[in-house]
Amino acid sequence: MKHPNDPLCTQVENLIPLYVGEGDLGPQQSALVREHLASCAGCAESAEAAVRARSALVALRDWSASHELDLWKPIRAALASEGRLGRQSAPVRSTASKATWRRTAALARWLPAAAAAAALFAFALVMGDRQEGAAPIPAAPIPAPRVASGDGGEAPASPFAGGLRRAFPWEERLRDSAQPFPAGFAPEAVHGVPLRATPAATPVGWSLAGQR
Amino acid sequence: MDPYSPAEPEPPDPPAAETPEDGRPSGDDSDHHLIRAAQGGDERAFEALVRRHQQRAVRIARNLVGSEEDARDLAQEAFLRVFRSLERFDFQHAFATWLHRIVTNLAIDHLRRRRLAFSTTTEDGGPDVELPDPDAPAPSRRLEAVETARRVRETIASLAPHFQAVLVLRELENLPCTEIARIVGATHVTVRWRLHRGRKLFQEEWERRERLEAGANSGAARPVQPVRKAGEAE
Repeated sequence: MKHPNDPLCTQVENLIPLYVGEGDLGPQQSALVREHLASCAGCAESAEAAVRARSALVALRDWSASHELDLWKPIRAALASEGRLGRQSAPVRSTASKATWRRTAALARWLPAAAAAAALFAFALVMGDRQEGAAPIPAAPIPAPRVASGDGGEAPASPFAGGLRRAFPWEERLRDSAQPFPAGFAPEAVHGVPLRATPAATPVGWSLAGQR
Repeated sequence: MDPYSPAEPEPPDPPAAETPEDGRPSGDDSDHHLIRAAQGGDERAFEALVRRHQQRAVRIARNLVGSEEDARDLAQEAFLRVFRSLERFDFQHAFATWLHRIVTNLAIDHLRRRRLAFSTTTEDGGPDVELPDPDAPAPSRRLEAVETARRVRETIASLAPHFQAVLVLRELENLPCTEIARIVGATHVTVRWRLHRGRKLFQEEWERRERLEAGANSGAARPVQPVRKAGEAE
C-alpha cells in the first residue's frame, strides 16, 4: 500500500524512472529502491508499470537492424558534383589480387611449422631404422617378398612390402602382431565375396578371396 | 533526493555497442588514422569511415524521424557535412560522437520542420492514430509485433525532440549518458533529467494510448485526441 505522505515513497517514486534502466542509478540508490519495493505494494505496482512501458520501448531495438546500405555512392556523387572529389573513383587494388595476396600470406605463416614438421619426420625415420638395427636404406629398393596366392602364383605380401617396409618398420610390427579373428567371430563373406584366412599375407589376417 | 545529480558516484556507463562493418578494429585511434588520411586526400579512407559508421547513423536518424528514406537522407547529409569540415576536426574527441551529434541535430531540425508543417496543414496539430478494425481477423504474432513497433514509434514521436533524442540514444542505441551529453551538447545532469522525464512522459503517453485502444476494442470506439507534444514547453 502506497503512502502518499510517506517521504520514502515519494523519494522512491522519483527514482523509479532511472531505477528501471540499465545501470542508470547508482548501487546505493538502487538498493534503497529495491528494499522499499519489497515492502511497499503501491510503489512496486508503479515500478512494474514503468518496467512494462520501458520494455515496449526497448523492444524497438529488435526493429533497428538496417537493410542493405551503401551511402558511399550517393555521398561520393554529391562530393564530386561539388568539386570536392574527382569524377573518377580512386584506384583500388583488384579484389583478385587482394585475395591472392591474402592466400599467399596465409601460406607463408605456415611455412616454418611445415619445415619443422618435415625435419622431425626425417629425423624419426633415421632414428627408427637405427633402433631396429636395420642396415641403412640401400640406394636400390629391396625386392618385395612374394607369398603364395590362391591361384598358385605369387603376390606381394603387403602394399607396404619391399623397399618401403624398411622405411616403415612399424608396419612390420603391426603385421606380426595381427591375429586372425577368433573362431565364431570371423565373417565368412563380405558383400557375397567369401573370405579366407591368410594370416601371414596381410596385416589384418584376412583378405577377400581372389584378391591380389 | 535529486535523481538527476546523484550524491553517490555515478554508476559506470555500459560500453557502447559499436559494430564496425568492415571488420577492422574500431575505436578512436582507428577513426583518427582514417581522418588524417582523408585530410591528406585519401578518398578511400573517407569511404572506409562512411562504411564503418553508416549503419548506426541511419539507425539513429530512423529512430528519431521514423522514416527509412528520410533517415538515409539525413545520414547522407551528415557525412557530407563531416567531409566539408574535416579539416576542422578536433582530435581530442571521438569521430563517432561528432557524427552522431550532427545526425541528431539534423534529425531534431527535421522533426521541428515536420511538426511545423503538421500544425499548418492540420487543425489538431498531429495525425490521428489508426485504431485496429475490431471486425478484422486476429492478426498473426508478426503483425502484432509490427503494430506494437508502430505504436511505440508514434509514442516516441509524440514527445518533444530533446526527449526523443535522449530516449533514442539511451534506450535504443544503449549509449552512456556521458556520451549522450557530448552528442546533444548538454550537461550530464541535464541528460539524466531528460532521461528521467522522458521515460515518465513516454510511460504516461503509452498507457494513455493503451487505455484508448482497449476502449476501442471493447466497442466504445472513439477517435484519439492528440495531445500537446509531451514536454514541448519544458
